[in-house]
Amino acid sequence: MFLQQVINGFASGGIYTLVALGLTLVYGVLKILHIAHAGIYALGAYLALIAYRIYPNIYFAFAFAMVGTAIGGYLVQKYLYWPILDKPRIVPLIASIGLFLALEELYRLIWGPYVIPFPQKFHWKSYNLGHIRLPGSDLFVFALSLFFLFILYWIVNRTKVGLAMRAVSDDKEVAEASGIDSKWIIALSFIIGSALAGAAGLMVGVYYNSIYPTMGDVPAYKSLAIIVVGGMGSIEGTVIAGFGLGLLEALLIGYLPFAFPRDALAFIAMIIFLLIKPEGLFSR
Amino acid sequence: MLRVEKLNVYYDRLHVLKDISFEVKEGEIFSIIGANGAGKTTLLRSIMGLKDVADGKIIFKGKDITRLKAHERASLGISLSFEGGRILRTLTVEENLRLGAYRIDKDRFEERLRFIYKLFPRLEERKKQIAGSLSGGERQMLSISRALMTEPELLMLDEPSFGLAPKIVIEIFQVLKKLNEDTGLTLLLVEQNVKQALKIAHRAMVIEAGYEVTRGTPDEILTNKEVIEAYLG
Repeated sequence: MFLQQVINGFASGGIYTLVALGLTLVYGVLKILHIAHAGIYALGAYLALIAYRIYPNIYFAFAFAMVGTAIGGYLVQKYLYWPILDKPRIVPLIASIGLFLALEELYRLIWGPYVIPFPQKFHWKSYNLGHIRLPGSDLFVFALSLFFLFILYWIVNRTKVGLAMRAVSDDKEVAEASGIDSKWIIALSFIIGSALAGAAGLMVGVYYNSIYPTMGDVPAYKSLAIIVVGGMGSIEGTVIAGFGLGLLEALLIGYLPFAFPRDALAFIAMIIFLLIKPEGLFSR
Repeated sequence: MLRVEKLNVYYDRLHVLKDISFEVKEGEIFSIIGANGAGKTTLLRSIMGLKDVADGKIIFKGKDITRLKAHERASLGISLSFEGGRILRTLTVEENLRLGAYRIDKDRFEERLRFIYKLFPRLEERKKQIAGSLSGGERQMLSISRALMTEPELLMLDEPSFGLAPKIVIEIFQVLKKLNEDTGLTLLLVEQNVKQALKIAHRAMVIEAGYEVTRGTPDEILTNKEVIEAYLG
C-alpha cells in the first residue's frame, strides 16, 4: 500500500515537475510568469490526439505533440511577449492570462466542450514486488518524466547552450557582452519548456484517458505554487517541489482518516512558504 | 580603433550624453574621468550595444557598429568588464570564463584559460567556487578575466577600482598596464579614481553631466586648474 502510494505520487509529481519546469525556464530568462504555459500543455494532449488519428503509434504521438508545442511556445514568445517586454511586468502577466483563456476557448471551438478519451486503450501490465502491485501506467509516467528530466539536466549543465541559458537567466547583459545572442536563448527556453509541457500533456491524456479544453486549469495553478515553493527560476527547486507535491498528495489521500481536497494542498504549501520562506527552497 | 562621433544618449527624457566625440587609437590606454552620474557608465554601455543611441555614430575598426547588437559587437572584438565586479554570480569561476569564451573554439579556450590563470593565479585556486562567494577583489579580477576571454581587441573597463582596498587596486592596475604593454591590447578605462586612471593612461578625457570638459595627456590634465579643483581637491 505504502509503496503503491509512493509510486503514484512520483507519477503525478513527474507530470507537475515537467509542466512547472517550463514556467521556471521562462521566469529564469524573462522574469515573467508564463501562465499560458498550461494552455500549451493542453495543446500537447490535443496534438497527441491528432497524431493518433494520423498514425497510431506512441512514439509518433510524442514527437508530434512535442514538436507542435515547441512551435507553439516559440510563437507565443515571439508574438505575445517580445512586443510588450519593456512594459511594466503586470502587462505580460495579464496578456499571459488572457492568452491562456483564449487558448481554452479555442480548444473548445475546435474539439468541442467534451471530455475526449484517448484513442488507444493501453493495457498496462502491473508488476508485482512481493505482495505489492505496481501499476504499469504509474511506472510509465514516472520513468518517462525521469527520462525527460535527465535530458533537460544534461542540456542545462553539460552543453554550451545550457551554459548560455544559465548565463542569460543570471544576468542577461553580462551574457550578451560575452557574445551570447540572448534573443535566441530566450526563444530556446520557450521551445524546450513547451516541448516538456507537450510531453506532460500527452502523458496525462494517456494516464487519465481524458482530454478536455480546461485540462490546463489545475496544472496552471499548481505549477505556480510549485515554482513559488521551489524558488522562482530555480530548476532544482522546481524538481524537488514538483515531486514533493505529488508525493505529499498521494500519501495524504492514502492515509488521512478523512476526505482531503487533493488540489488544495499545493496552495496550502504555497501560502505557508510565502509566510515563512518567501524566497522558496532554492533562492537565487 | 574606436571612433565615437557626436554621441547623444537619453534615459527617458534625461539627456545623459551630449555630443560626446573621441577616438581611441590602437594600442593605447584611454581614460575617461568624471564624477558619479557624469555619464561614464552609459557611455560604455552605448559602445557595448546595451544602450540605444539616440544620435551619433560609433565606428569600430572602420565599421559603423551603431546599430549592431551587443553579442555582434562582442564577436567583432569589443569587450566590457562591468561596474562593481558584476559577473554571473550563480555560475562557478570557470563557468564564467567558459562563457566569456563562448565564441572561441576549445583549443584556444584552454590556451586563453592558462593565460588568465597566469595573470590572476588566485582565480585558478578558486575555479570550482561559485562566483557569488568570491571577495570583492576576486570578483573584479574575474570580471576583467571574463571580458578578456572573448579575445577582445578593445577592452573597456568600468571602474575597476571601485570599492576595493588600495593594495588590490594597485595590483589590478599593474595587470592592466602589463596587458597593454605585453600584448598591445587597447584599453578604454572609465574611473572615478583619477590618480590611478591618469597614472596608466596615454590620453584622457574629463566629462561632467554628459559634456566633455577637457582632454589631453595625463600631464596636461593634471595641470588643468578646473580639473584639479573638481577632482583632486
